[in-house]
Amino acid sequence: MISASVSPKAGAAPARAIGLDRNLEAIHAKDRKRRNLMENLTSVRFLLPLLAVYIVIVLIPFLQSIVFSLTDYDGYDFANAKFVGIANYQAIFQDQTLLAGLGFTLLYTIATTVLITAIALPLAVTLNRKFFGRNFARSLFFFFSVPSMAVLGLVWQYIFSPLGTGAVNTVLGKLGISPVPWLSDPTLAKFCVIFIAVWAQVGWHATLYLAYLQAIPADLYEQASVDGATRGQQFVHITLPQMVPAMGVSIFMLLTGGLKVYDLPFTLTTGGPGNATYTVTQSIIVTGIGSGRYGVGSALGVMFFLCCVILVALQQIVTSLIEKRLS
Amino acid sequence: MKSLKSLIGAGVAVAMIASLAACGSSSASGKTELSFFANNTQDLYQPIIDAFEKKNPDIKIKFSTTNGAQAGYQQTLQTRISGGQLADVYVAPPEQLNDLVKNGVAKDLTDESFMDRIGDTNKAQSTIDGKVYSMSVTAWTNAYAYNKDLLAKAGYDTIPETWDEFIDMLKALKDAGVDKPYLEPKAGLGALVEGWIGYDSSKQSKSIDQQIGDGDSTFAKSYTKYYKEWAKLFSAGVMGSEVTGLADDQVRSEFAAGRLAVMPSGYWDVKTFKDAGLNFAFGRMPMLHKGDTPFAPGSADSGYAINAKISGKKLEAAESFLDFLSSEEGLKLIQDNLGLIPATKNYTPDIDKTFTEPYDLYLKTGNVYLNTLGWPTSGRSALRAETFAQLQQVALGSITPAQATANLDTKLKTLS
Repeated sequence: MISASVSPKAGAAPARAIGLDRNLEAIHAKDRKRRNLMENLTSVRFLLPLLAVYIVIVLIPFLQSIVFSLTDYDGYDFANAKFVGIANYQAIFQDQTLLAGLGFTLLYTIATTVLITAIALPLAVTLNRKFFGRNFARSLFFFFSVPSMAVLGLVWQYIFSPLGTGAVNTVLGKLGISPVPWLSDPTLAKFCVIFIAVWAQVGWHATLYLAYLQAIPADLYEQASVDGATRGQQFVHITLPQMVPAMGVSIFMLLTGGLKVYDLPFTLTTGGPGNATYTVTQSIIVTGIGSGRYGVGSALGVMFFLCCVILVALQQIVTSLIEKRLS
Repeated sequence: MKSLKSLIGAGVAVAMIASLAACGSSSASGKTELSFFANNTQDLYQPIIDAFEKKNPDIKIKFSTTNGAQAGYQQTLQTRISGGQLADVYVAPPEQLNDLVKNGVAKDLTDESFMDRIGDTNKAQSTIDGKVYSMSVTAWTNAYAYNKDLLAKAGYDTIPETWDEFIDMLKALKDAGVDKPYLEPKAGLGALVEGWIGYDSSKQSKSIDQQIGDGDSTFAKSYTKYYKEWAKLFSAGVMGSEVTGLADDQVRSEFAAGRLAVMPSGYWDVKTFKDAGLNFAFGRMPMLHKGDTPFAPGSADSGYAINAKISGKKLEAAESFLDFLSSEEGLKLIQDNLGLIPATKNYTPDIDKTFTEPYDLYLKTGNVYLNTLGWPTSGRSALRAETFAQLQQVALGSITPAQATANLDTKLKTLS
């Protein structure tokens, strides 16, 4: 009886407890949601200034460019501009100079991306080891990237001067070698532009890799050493997979920077000799904006933007596939 | 405490507003503020501005300029116009004058009294449909700078009259041990070709470049013979393809160092060469045939224009400023500070004696020619850059002069 009288009471207590638990859970869930919402709102507030800047200096001008590209806007008064449809886009593909510019821009982008990645990664590994003067070496490589490319172009113009009085040719002359036409031979001029770009940027990208390298747990290497792995094996099986996210970031920056290159070739060679080192951005400036043909310049810009988006999207897909495979 | 903070805050706000208001005001101190946008640095213009303000104490000039060369100035001017920020008085490059007039931002100066002082060549360059829209007070010309000591080694004391004689002189210099008899900068290749075209154009009712611009002729038809003559420099071995990699400064440095015998130059280099302690002078640019009237690349300099949208006291101040710039005092200051050569009716400039020959041959006579002025307004700078790119390829031997001119025609089609 007692038990009979107790049992319903005893059965009601856990039920109430379950109900309370559910209530508490619901309250916690609400709290979590509120907290998440607050966190999201805080994040949004932090992102707002950046978003505003992005909209003002990237999105709006880009949308304006699309509009300009469909008109004969001459850069003075848009009210006088006439709608010309896709005529500006057609004009682009008839311009041989632009096609030459596209060729060198792609060569520059691919060459600098491959060379800088191939040099910066082992350089970062070397700079991560302990040796005398390590901090000085790290600073030295980083400082190459501090001066602007335009300044570097002007300075290297004298170093790579094709005259016998150029810095490199003076040294070669002392060794009995006749002057080399560094900037006056199309192939050598391309080599010079790419060489300087690699020289100037490799330290910066090595520093980026160095930051990621220092985040790799040391016990991974210790375990590998105990298991008898050589340095080469450690690099291939530990360092390289751990560096994939860093490579993704570095390659992304090299690709986007390479595609829009302008300052270095312009100050070093002005796009010459002939059109050997002419770039797409130079074409946008000279053929479009510099000539008061904002419509054509904008069409070039829009086309180029789409090419960049496709290339960068491909790079992101490849990087994420590699990351997935390695993880 | 709170009210004190509010009071301080209000005071600061009022002070800031007042200072901002002073920035935009045209007569905060009872003076008319005149904005002036120029293509040269403030330190060079300041003595001119100071002298004007001294003479006109009720006007204050607000100067602005831009970084970069002429192309940079033109782009900034264009951006300012499209953004509604055009200055009251500005330098109007001849290449842009058509567009400035078309967009209604250059005031008609035809009937202004100070325009009577302006030389006819300069006036003609600033004229559109019979009206003068800018006041150009100076002119420039190219000339050959030559090292007298190096020329003496081959028995010469001046630049010969014809192109073939000039090439013979360069050969003689080479034989006399002068390693670099002649160099042109990569962005100035074929400069003297414009002189030849200028002379041939002077015999026709319409200039050769105007004919090309109007579609009556082509680069292939008109330019090939000139480019072939210029290419003799390479076939004769007196100039090498290394010029395709040489900037203006590098050629100038070679000349200033006494290693280069002859280079295309202008009045702007007089000071540099004097400072280098060279024994030098400026001479003619040889013509194709004996007896051809000497012509050289050159033109009237960019003129000063008044924003067509200003009125009242600002307009009066702008007119006073242009009146001062074209006065004897203003012109002397322009020559002394900007290094430009005045070309007006009311002032005879004191020319450095090293530059007397080109001044007499070209600027006094008005025998200067600039090919770009005949080309379609839209795309001039792109086409000019293309001429250098094509001549660089001729210098490298990768194309012939005929191919270069054909390529220029193709480029012109994409620009029209």
